[in-house]
Amino acid sequence: MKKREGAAFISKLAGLPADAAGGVPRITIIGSTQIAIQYPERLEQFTEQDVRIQLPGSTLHIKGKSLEVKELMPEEILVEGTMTNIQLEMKQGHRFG
Amino acid sequence: MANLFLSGGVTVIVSGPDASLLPGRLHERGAILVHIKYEKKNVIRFQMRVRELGLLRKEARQFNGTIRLEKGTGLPFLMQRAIQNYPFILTSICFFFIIILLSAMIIRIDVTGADTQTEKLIRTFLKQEGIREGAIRFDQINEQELKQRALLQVPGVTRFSLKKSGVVYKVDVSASSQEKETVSSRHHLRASKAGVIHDLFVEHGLSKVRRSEFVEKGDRLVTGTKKNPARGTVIAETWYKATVTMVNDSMQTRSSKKRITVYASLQDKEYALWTPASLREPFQSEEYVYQFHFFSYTLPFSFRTVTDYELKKVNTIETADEMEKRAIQTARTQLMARLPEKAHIQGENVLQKRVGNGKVKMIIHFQVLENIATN
Repeated sequence: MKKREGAAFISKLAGLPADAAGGVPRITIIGSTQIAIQYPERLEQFTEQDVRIQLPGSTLHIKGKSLEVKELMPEEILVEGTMTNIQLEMKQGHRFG
Repeated sequence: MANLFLSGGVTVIVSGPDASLLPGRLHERGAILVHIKYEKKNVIRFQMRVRELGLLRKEARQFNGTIRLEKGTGLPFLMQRAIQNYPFILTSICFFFIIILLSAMIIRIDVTGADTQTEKLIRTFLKQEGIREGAIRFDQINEQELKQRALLQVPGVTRFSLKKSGVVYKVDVSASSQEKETVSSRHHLRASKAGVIHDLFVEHGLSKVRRSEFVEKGDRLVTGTKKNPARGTVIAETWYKATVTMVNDSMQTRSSKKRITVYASLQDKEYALWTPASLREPFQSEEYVYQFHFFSYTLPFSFRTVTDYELKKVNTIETADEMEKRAIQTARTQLMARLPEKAHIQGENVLQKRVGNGKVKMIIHFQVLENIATN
């Protein structure tokens, strides 16, 4: 965690975007049918209506209908389906970048 | 995009109360999962790499539920299935080859424009050239050369064309029309050429000549009637003159050395498969093109071979005597080719001989016994 924060600090100092270095999670939502999460920590739980993904320092909560994890790779998770609610729960004392 | 096609994927079905947690745990161990689907309550289906099944085994030890492996997808499984179904693949390859073979086979030869006699001659000529029903030919026939040989070798043919349509060869010829003999001339036997009668055999009719009698061309030999036309053979001694010129040092033969260059062509591009060192001596080239057909469709690849035969000058030192003998022999064989089958050469005399400059020029007189009787 320390290393990641350090890298984020340096990239900020260099004027780079925050996600350019240090494996900071990046979430891309395409319409309401696809969501890609880069650098997740782990897939916590997975059902058709409910996908919970743990990120460093927070948890991403996706709710919807007929959700399907298209790809589950060490550095990326791709979820497809009809999404109705996306929620980011921060843990106490942590923040990105 | 994780693609499991090359590495091979397995569909896994997990059921149990903790099924929804298993993908997450496998992910933590570093596995790549694809198409994770929540099928129904507590049943999850996903695909993973065959290589990473070890991770699933480790996870399965602590898992409370059942894990089932379904079918395998991807190239390794396809290969396995192909090997299991080898007779099918073998048969399809055989089918392909057999069709190519059959497409190269000559199934039928149609000869048009010739009467039965000429057609027979043409068919025997084509047989000598290797074009017969049932022959398999991949090489393209050189029509121009074949045409020339046909015009030379088949008597009475004035035009010859060979067309290949699929497995059928169509030969179109024009034969020179032979003069129709009038009925009246068929009653008697006449001499076809001048000669001295040697032997007579009359089946029907009245002989008009005797042995050792000289006859001119067109003389009546045997008289017949309208009812009973004359029949028989009249063997007479006839004469032929032949002029031969023999040159000592013009003979070239192929030594046993040859070089084959093989080209493979794919559509328009040609690649040399095999190029040997070129010959230093003068050589003669022969070119063959091998094409493959699948039914009437020409396959886009073909082979071409160019064979260079080394030529060698024959420098045998012949004496004038030997050259003379060779000249007589050559003249004899040339004459034999012209004469009808039953004729035979009775004797020969050298009328004139001129030797000089490495050349022998001879005029030879032959005495031939042959049937001169024609209707």
